[in-house]
Amino acid sequence: MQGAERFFSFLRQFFPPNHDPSYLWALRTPVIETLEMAAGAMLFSATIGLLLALYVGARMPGARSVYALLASVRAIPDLTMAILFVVVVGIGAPSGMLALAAFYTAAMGKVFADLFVSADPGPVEALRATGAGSLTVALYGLLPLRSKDLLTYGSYEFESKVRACVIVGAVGAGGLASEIMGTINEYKYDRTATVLILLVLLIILIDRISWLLRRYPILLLAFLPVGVISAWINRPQMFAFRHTLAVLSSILPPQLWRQDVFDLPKLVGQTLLIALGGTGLAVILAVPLGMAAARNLAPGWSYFPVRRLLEIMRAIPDVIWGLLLVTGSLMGPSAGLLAIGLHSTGVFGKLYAESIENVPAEPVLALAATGAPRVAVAGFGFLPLAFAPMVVHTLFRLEWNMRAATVLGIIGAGGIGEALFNAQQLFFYRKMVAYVIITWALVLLMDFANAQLRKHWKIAEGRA
Amino acid sequence: MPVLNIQDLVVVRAKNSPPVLNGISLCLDRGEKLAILGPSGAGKTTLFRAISGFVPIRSGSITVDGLSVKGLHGRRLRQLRRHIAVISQRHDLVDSLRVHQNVMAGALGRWSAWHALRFLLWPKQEELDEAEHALHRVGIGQKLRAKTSEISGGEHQRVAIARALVQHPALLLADEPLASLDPDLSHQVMSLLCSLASESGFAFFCSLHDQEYAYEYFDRVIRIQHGVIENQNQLRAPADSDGIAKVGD
Repeated sequence: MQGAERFFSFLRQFFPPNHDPSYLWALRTPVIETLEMAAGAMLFSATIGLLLALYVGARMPGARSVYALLASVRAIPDLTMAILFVVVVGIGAPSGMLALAAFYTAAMGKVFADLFVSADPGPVEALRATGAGSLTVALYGLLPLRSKDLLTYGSYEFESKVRACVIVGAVGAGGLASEIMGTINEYKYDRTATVLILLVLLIILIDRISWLLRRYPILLLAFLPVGVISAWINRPQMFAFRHTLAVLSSILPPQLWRQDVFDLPKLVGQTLLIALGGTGLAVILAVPLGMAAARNLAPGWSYFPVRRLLEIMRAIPDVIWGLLLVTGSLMGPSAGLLAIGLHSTGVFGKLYAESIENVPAEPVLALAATGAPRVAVAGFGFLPLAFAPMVVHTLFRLEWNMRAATVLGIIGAGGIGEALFNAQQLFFYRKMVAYVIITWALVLLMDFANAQLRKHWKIAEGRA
Repeated sequence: MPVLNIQDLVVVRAKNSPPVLNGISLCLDRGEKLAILGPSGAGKTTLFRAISGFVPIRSGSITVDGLSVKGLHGRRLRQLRRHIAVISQRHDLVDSLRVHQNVMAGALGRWSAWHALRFLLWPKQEELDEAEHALHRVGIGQKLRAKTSEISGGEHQRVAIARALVQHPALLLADEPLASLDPDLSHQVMSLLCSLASESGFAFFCSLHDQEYAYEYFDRVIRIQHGVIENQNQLRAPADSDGIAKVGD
């Protein structure tokens, strides 16, 4: 068991976390940078995304093309986007923010557009019947009809965006992950531990804020000035158009070498293995954990600690899990698979617990009334009743995990991202763009397959 | 010994609110059929929930088969519940399970947790036979493997009754079993329940909205209003009961 021994001696180096006041004080910069990126990108993507979604929802001319554009931009994973922007715009927080803004404008736009398109047609038609124009229909019909769902989905997007802001630093786009990379490269693992703890606290804080926003939507207004200020501070200095054009011309057209083409099937296979295997691992771990975290099923001594554990697993993004595993000398696809598995366990555990908590009380009570033990009530009542929403959550997460699997290679955890990142590091930009396109096609394909699967099982977003 | 014995039962919802049940006393023997009438909100459902041990008892006592309900929890409470089958107006089936799984849920009280989980994945033939037998008795034997979400409302009701039969109860509580049924179906269900009660010999306690059914099918009828039984003194109906009630164990 030499490997295990080495792993534990590696783990020991994280303790105790560095608590030197001067280091803690120095960390304010990456924290503020991360939050600024989040707020700035949020402001941009929420407003533009909402406008585009209304455009689609009101079925204005060209709405279909706008929707297709949103769906296809959303298929370029955020980190891949960040690498592209780092190449074109330069290293630093502004390109991180731009990449996130572009990705999440598309993500929010598509989710909102889906909500609008599936809005109750009755009131919308009644408005049209009065002879109202498309804009009026959108403002008086679509927005009020869907305001609650917009808020729910919007705040979930915000949470995942903050997580994304934390990780874009891994490719040199500023923020906390740049700091984590730095400490790992300098072998100062006690500092890594400090940043990780900070990261978990930050994300838990964001969870609480977004919960508050869902409850008191008026607080959204307070974010407006914050967003404007941070967007201004991090405005990209990219008015050197000639530089950008020069870069663009040097990265086009995309090109792969012969050997790369031969290696491609292996890379794609690894990527699929990471995505599907990681998701599968997470499902296996999250079903018992989710049951143990459900307030209406598990006893008090169980759900409280399990919820905290899930919170921590969820708060550490998959890329950071991957970084830790890779640093702990686990390389390649197994690191990627474990990274996705660990993070998704935290995500699934919480969602499964919520699905179980939302189960109607009466059938469960009827089972308890037969004198059934708790495990039997879970098997005959809670799990079958919560099954449909659990499947929905799992399939939606699979879309995200597919994106994550394509980018985890950037930190050495296998898959197509590794080839992409190597190409960027060696300045083979035309090769890099080729990998970006392949990543994009792969994600699009999986999104399509996933959508077909949901359609086949007649699962709509509303049932989640 | 009566199957169900309730003495001066008082149940309150919150600490200082007026009692939902205020001094209920009643007695039910093996094989006896008792109907309780009253407007909604009178306390019928609360009474049934108290008998199953889902509602804390402020004062008074409930005994089922000689076992006191008050203060029971955990394994002892589950043992008590095994002997009480419940049918509610919403039927309370798990729609995402198959019919045979919903029926055999009635056996969960006597099965171990492992037995229960094994049955979900890999039912044995004798267990399926038991489910089919119960479904036959309620007249829908052919629905054994059907999806619960795809059977009709009347069949839902029958599956709920079959689940109660599998439980081999000493006492059957039916809370408004005719709500959401049309008159034809109501008569069918009522006579089914009553004939099952005399076949199997369990005590049958049923809450109803409509007094017509109460006087047609039941040995005794009581009325509840504001948590108090109104016709406490005339508890015994004109003597047309078959005498089983007085034998006891």
